[in-house]
Amino acid sequence: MKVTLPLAGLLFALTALLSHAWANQAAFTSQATQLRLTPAHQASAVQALPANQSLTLLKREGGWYQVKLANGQEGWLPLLHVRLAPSNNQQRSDLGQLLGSTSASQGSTLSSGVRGVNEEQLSGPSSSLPADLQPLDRYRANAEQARAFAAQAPLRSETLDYPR
Amino acid sequence: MSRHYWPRALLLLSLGLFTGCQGVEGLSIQGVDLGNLVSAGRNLGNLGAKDLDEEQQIGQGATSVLLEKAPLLADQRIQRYVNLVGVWIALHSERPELAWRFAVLDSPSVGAYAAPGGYIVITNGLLQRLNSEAELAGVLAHEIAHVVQKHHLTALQQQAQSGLLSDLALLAAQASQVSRQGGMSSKDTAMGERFKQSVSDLYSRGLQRSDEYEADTMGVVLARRAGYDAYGLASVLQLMSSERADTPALVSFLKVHPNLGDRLQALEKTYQYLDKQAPNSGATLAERYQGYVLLP
Repeated sequence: MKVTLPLAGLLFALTALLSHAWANQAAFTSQATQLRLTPAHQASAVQALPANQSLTLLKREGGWYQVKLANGQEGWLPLLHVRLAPSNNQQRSDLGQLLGSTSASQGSTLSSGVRGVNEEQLSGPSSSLPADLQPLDRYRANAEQARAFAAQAPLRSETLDYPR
Repeated sequence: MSRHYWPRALLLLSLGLFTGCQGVEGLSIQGVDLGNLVSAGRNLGNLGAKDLDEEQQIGQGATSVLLEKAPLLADQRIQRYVNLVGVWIALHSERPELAWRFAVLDSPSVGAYAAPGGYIVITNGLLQRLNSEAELAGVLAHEIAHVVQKHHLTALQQQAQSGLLSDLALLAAQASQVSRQGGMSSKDTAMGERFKQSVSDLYSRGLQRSDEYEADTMGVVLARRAGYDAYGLASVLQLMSSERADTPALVSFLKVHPNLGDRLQALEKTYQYLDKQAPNSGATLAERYQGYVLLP
């Protein structure tokens, strides 16, 4: 799909919006919870909230949303105690459809002929793929490339077990 | 010829976010035994070369089936980006040595799928709904966890046993050949089609609910290990639960995923654990994501 200038402008505008996709989003509490002064469980409680309390999201910080109640009271709630109100989101869906219509590529390439089962079984996991999967090899990243890309961000590894 | 075999309904299946999860009726397991996760990686050490080859074969066959749903997105930059992010996360898993490959399908539907051996497929429709690399990481890490735990491999093997399909890897190879060329004997063709049907049944029915909860928990930890904001996956689940149920791309997703709220609730213990163990918030990388995925 060739992107025209007006569309490119639209994309930039939408991108600016998307970076705060949930700002001013209507939401509600999924359970009884405490509205807190700062984003921490040990922070002092501002107010006890029942389940299904309507509110507006202001911003997110880690696992916390800063929210505002209808009476103007602000505070922080655990992200997991909040559900976004049903929204039309039609604009974004349309954007998704639009960009999803990028001209279709044919997924398969030329067949390289009969490849016997034995030959495939002998080949290791990183060797050549069946013909219909060969396009995947074009985009494949190795560990070194992935590490370099992560370092650009920068992303820092953490040593963590799974929870018991 | 293989395409005629597919019922139209299957072609329309978006299979659902996160590997056609759930949809198994009668299963009401709401929690996940986190104790199992600790020993999860231990079973993987004794994997023989033959087993690995078979897993690859089955994974390739299953991926061929997934790639029949839609063409690959013709955008090298996005494909490459998803592979770089995906491999980085996979390096933090218990199976870093697999030949991980990630593919973006040119489909407006919302879906992400894992296949044995390290193949992960995600739709452009889902990519376009996400806001940040941390959210993408949450989705990919969930799928990577399915591969690490061999959820699909085990499910396919169980299906094969009940259907007396003794050599699943051989069937996968037959299926692959059916896709590639004609001129096979009708017996081989029938075997290949049975494999495809088996794969299709699994992805449309979904995994056991407990597998999904396990992949959620492991995925959140994997994303955090890789340095991302751990709340990416929770963010995506929240986002999905707020979309209109009649959004075309989401209809089938919501049909097979009635319990996004349950999944969020089930993640609470994991996030409490992570808040303690890795109190620094990880990277969100919204700008990098938008630069690669949303801007041409």
